[in-house]
Amino acid sequence: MISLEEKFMVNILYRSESEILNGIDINTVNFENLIKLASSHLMLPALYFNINKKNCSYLFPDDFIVYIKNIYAINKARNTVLLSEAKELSKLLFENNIKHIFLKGTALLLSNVFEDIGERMIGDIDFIIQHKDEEKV
Amino acid sequence: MNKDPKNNEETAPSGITRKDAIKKMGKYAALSAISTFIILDPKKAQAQSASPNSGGGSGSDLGNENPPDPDGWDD
Repeated sequence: MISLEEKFMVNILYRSESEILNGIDINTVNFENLIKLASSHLMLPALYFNINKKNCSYLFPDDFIVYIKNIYAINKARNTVLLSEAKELSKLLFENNIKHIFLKGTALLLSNVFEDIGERMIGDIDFIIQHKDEEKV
Repeated sequence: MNKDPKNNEETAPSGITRKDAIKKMGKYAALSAISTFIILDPKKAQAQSASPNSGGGSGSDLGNENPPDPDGWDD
């Protein structure tokens, strides 16, 4: 069965501002469990982004917001660097006529799937190439 | 992580106690999955994992500088 914190997190991430508290008594939400849950799914930056976007930070303890805001800021700064590196890598591969496709987080961020590049956590830059270019790469 | 037999307080090799570490980092950092910090700072996380005293869990890593200290962050 889905926990209260799971339901709350889904509402924050995917529901509209007016639906965030649907089926939720905010006084019964365990914010420590919410941090454990969101962090285990690498969703802390997305949680902050949506809380901010949907103007519902008043529902949370101040230290909770400060914490996830900082995680979001660190993640956004890191993603900025990673995307810059991905673009540099892509340029180098193109210059050497190597066809390549970025995958997963990098591909999603480069394709502007997300509203904000700080929303998604990415660990590395994944891309595929053709077998024939393996040695060259 | 060693146990201090006098007060049963867990003490890291650096001398910092678990209680002090949690106070320094903030309680939410102590509750966050270690994977979050591995992504945010993989070099530090990698260096930590190579340490024989790293312990492997977020709870036993609290005396190190990873994850970053929320007290020093900008609001």
